[in-house]
Amino acid sequence: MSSSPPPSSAAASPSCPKKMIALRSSDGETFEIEEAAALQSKTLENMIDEDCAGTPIPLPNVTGKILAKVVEFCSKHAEPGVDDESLRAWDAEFVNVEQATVFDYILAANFLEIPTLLNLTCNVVADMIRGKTPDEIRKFFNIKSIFSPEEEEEVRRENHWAFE
Amino acid sequence: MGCCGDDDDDDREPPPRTPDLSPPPPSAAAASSSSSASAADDSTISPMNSHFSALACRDTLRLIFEKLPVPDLARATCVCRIWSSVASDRDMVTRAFAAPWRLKEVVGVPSSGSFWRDNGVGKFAISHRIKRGDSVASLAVKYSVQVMDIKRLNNMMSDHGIYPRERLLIPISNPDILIDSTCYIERDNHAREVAMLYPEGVRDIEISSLLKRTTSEQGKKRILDSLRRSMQVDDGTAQYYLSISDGDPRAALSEFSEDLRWERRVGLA
Repeated sequence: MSSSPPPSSAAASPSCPKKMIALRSSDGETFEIEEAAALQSKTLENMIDEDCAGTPIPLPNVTGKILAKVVEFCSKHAEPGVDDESLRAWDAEFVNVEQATVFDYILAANFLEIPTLLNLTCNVVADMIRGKTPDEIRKFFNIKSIFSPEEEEEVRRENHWAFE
Repeated sequence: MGCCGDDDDDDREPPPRTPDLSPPPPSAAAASSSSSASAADDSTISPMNSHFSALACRDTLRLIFEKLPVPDLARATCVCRIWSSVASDRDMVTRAFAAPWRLKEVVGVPSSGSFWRDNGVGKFAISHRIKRGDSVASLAVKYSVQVMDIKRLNNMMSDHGIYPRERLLIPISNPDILIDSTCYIERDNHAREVAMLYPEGVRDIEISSLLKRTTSEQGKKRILDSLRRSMQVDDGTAQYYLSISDGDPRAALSEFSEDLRWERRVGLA
């Protein structure tokens, strides 16, 4: 193990085995993540500096509960030698959670800029939306429509194709 | 991060206050009896649930909607105001419209947003410039369509010749022709707005007549306004020059400069 960390930590650093990055959630929990996994997040990539043993990176927008799962996701996706099919199956299990959690993943993935997680979770929500009528969508996501009756009428008229 | 375009509520830690999505109208639709909505929060989406800020944030909505095909995007437009706004964005509707056909681009401004809500193959047509020797029969063979379909699309009641016309519209039989193409929004012979394909590319003359034909009332007003601003004249004068140039703003501007030059020369201005 080399005594000093390589200057550029953005690239994979073979001389510093399993360089761990510390993250702190909004509620004060600390998590450790391998650098390779952390690099899945563009936000983290930008934040990681040259100091191998740096202080934990604070993530005020993500709770411990979600951050734990995000770390799990990134670690899995940084694992070498996982074939596409089993990764897909793992992903499917990962998002097999309740609605609220999926949305929390979306927000975390958006904030941390993790394209794989963002893509996965947005697809899940898109699947929830597909095939539903606007009323069903509102009921499903508990959304209040604040259209006035006239607006609602106009919107429906413009989109009548979708109801045929 | 630039999220949550509607409001500056950045707080996403639970339990957050979900952002105000729109000012509560006096006739606030307290219709849906959502379980424990606090009285003051009638205007917000599900105030008790933190995760709904993901559904009220334009960025994330955009990412989600990008995965929806045209009919689902159309239905999403009807859900609530912010969904409607994101789902009607020009880039969004163009993407959904173009995706299944792998179009490169869609040019033009439709007269109504409903144009984007149907992207079946019947929404497209080929604009074939008539050359010597063309006949309806030969074109039917060339494009692999029925003679009847060409006649119908071009309002050809009888068997009169096609030569007085400049072009014939041809329905699409092979969708592969749309791949990587540019389509122009125009009205067909039945005044329906369609996405037109020009297999030989579009010439200048066609472009300007296209501009004229696809320009809606709003578009015309915009052209008039910008002309008036560049010429620094009143509405009536701008209107006059636009009309003598057949609606072409560039020609209008050059006519105007000509006149201005003449006026200066003879000492009138």
